[in-house]
Amino acid sequence: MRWIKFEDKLPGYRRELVLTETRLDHYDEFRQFFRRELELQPGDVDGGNNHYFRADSGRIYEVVFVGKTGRPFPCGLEILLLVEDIEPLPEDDEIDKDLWEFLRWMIAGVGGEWTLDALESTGYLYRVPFARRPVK
Amino acid sequence: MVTEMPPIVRDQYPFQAHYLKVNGRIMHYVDEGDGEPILLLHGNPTWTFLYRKFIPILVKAGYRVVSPDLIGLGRSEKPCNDYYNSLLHHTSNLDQLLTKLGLKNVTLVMQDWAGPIGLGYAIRRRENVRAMLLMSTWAWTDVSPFHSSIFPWRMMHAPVVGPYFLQRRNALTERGLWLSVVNRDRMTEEVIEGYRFHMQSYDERGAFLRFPRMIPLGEKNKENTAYDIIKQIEEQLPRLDIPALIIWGEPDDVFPKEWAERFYEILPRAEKPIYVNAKHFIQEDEPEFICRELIRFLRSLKE
Repeated sequence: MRWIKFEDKLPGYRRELVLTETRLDHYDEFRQFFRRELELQPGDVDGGNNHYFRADSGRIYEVVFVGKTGRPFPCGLEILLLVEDIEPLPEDDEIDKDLWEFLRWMIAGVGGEWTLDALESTGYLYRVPFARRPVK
Repeated sequence: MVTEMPPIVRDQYPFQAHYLKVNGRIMHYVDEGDGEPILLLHGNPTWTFLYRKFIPILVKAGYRVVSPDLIGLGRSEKPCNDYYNSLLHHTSNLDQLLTKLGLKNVTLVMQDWAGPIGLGYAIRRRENVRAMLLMSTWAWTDVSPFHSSIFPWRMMHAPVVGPYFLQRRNALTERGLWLSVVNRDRMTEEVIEGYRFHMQSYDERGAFLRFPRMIPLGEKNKENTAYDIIKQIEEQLPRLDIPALIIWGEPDDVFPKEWAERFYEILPRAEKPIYVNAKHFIQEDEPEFICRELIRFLRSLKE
């Protein structure tokens, strides 16, 4: 996956919500990672930049960061798949494969005790088809 | 989403549905039989389906069996927000259920999150609890090795990763249940469908994620968990003089068997724990044995 920028708001696409995280600060190192990596500021909730990434599949997703009073920013995020016009939503596994790339990027960035090996092992144990078999 | 129960599930779970409102939310419960009331309480990611084999046995033995689905799970309302799902909410909901049904002198059967919920009720309404059965649960703020490990537990409910595993991929139902029983040949597709069909969509599965995030990790991250409320329960346990039966799975890897001994040592009126060949979802592994022991225990209290 890679982050991309658009000059406009991408008219002609509809946004399909595929993942919601309401407690990005449950383990605060995740919130801090997004804040640092994407240079997010509390004022971004009032007209800040849009954040898009393109998965290896070519599908484009917008990541919307959520702020709430009384909570550190960002307190949550929403991942929206951009689907052209009235085209159908892809199958769940296709979206899950794209999101797995996002999770790998995120875990690699958060670091510390949150390792890619732990993510892949958890995915393998719980039968995520894109997870790699852990090295014994 | 409202769906008619498919025959594959109804055949395993032939109980009439009852509903009432607790704290503004619609709660589903089973209410079968006549006699002294036994409350069968489940945790995450299950619903009263977990007790489908208990209900006929206990009814036949002459008890009234009431079993509610926690708000957010099973056939109860599943709000799409974070604000309904605290330990205090669930304990208050249980209190409301018992009050509205006029149930007195109840026996609480508890496993997983039902432990902190039911024990939270018992310390507040001591006079209304006749007896308790504790299975694969906890009520203290220190953490089991399973819950403290990154792989797989904390990774599975970490930010962003959690909604992926627990809501998008329904990992606890599709795989976790199977991993946490001894008798895996009993976890057939029909049984998994029983757990799956009320939680079919992403939005319906929010509680699957919210419960793991409430589990205290000791002093770490305490403000984001149910630490303070469970601490209150923990402090009250030595004074909870209610007859208690403890049945635990010897190979339970979620709540280790040492924690059965811990309940035995803390609770003033507990019987010595009974161990069986079961894991965390002990109700799937040993339903007949547990019911037999519970009936024996309750009858012994009359003598």
